[in-house]
Amino acid sequence: MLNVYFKGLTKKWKSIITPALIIGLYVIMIAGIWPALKDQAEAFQFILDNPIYQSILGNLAGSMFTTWEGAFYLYIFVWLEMVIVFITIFTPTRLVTNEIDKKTLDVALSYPIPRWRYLLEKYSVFLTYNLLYPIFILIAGYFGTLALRPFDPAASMNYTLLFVASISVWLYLFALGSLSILVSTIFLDSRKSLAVAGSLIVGMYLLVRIGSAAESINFLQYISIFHYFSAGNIMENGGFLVGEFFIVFGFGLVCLIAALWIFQKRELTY
Amino acid sequence: MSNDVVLQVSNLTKIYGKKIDIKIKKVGKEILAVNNVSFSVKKGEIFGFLGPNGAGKTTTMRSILNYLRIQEGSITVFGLDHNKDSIEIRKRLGYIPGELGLYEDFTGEELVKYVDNFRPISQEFLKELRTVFRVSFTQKIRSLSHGNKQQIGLILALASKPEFLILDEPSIGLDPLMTANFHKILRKLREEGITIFLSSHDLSEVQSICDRVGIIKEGKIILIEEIEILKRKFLQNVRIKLPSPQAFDEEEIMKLDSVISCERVNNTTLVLKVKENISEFLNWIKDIDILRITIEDASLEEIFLHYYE
Repeated sequence: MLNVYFKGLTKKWKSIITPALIIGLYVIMIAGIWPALKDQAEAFQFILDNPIYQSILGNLAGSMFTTWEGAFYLYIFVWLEMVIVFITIFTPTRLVTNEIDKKTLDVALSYPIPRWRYLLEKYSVFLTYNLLYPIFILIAGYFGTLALRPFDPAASMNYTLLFVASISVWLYLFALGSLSILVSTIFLDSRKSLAVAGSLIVGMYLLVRIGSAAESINFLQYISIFHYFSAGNIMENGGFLVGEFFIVFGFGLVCLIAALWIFQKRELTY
Repeated sequence: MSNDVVLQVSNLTKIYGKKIDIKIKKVGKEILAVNNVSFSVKKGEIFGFLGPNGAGKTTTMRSILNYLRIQEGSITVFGLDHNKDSIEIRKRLGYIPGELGLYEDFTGEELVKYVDNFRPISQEFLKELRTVFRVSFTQKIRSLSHGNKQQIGLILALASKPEFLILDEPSIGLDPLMTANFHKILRKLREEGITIFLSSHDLSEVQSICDRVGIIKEGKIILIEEIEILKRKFLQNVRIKLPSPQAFDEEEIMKLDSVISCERVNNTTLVLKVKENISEFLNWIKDIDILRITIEDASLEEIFLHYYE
């Protein structure tokens, strides 16, 4: 049972937990420099009012940079969106195509396991390790805030909101990862899959940024998954956005089911 | 279908690519890889599948494994449909592809444990295989040579003693000693009733271990025969030594249906290739003064080349 899953879990942990670990350490670093940064925060807040920054930051631009919580969201979640783009283009796409390149897929599929299950177990390893992002963010956020208290007694954090925001990170990794998997099962070729998945994901990321730059092209952001259930939206609305959650989750689920179906049914020509 | 038949391939046709008509333009091209191929492999036999690169051997094997979608025909393994019952079939099947890839960050030991979770491995047989192949099981796969990787691949395919083995060019990269050991193991498995479907470029390998051979050319089966019958029936090398340089009507002998070629090596020696009805040939030469005549079976290589020329 779950042989492929446990094989991946024991063999891939180093490469997969590294980005999550870096994010965790980054939070600690931000907490370390915040006392010095706080005094200049108002000047930074002024810069953030610039429309270019506003479009880059999206709803996160509404965060008050002068508070520890606002700065935390700006520093962490803006970077995390870029990390998500990078990871979801490169990791899930290669789950299948890497096996094709290394010629291990033919033997792997000669064992008695349905193809869809083989792929699902491999993908589940990716999803399991991605749980480390919300966990590390929460732990680092909690300890970062605690460590700040002696220097900034007003430092506080809404952990419920942070929990929901960090869940959005995992949800994006799931939804966009599923899209990448779908692309890779269609092409079964690493270069084509990376190019197409990269174009789609980067394209969606840019759509939401460009769309928020001007009212006339505002509609563009609605066709991007990054527009829904983002950390900025969660912070702005102050709670769990059920409708947006289901849009992102549904998108991911449809992509994943389509990928599993295609991989099960299609012929493996490479 | 007889219970003795493990693999039945009937009228298999596989075309790669499809033409898509977009108004006037035609996009893509079709490649007929396997054309109406039919053959069967009986329980407990080693069936050799011969053909040059691109003849359709790997396509046939990958179709059996349900990796490819066939356009026409049917494939059954153990009487089960290769598509609908592929999981059931794979529980009883071992496979090594022509281009073998193994997980590089695993050791042989870890790979054996991994495979054991899918198809229980016979520990006793594994021990025997490890004695024969003598490859390190503690080193990471990435640090092994190509030949050693191939040995690990063979151990993984054989160790669970599956009822049916599909081996695509299995001895590639093995040194002669390992190849000989591998052949011994295959013979032993055959004695235990395990069925083996093997493709190879090495004709001497096919000749030494296979019971029957199928020759595929440009996607079509052109011959299926037992090795021994094939060698006897289809081609024999005849060497004639004449007592002295004398006239020998080479043009006349070439008119016989059974004579494929006649070559004069020197003034007194002739080498002929004769097929099937050798009595016709013997009848023709009975009146000729001959010092010595030797008739021997042609090698599989000669037969193979004969069919490919």
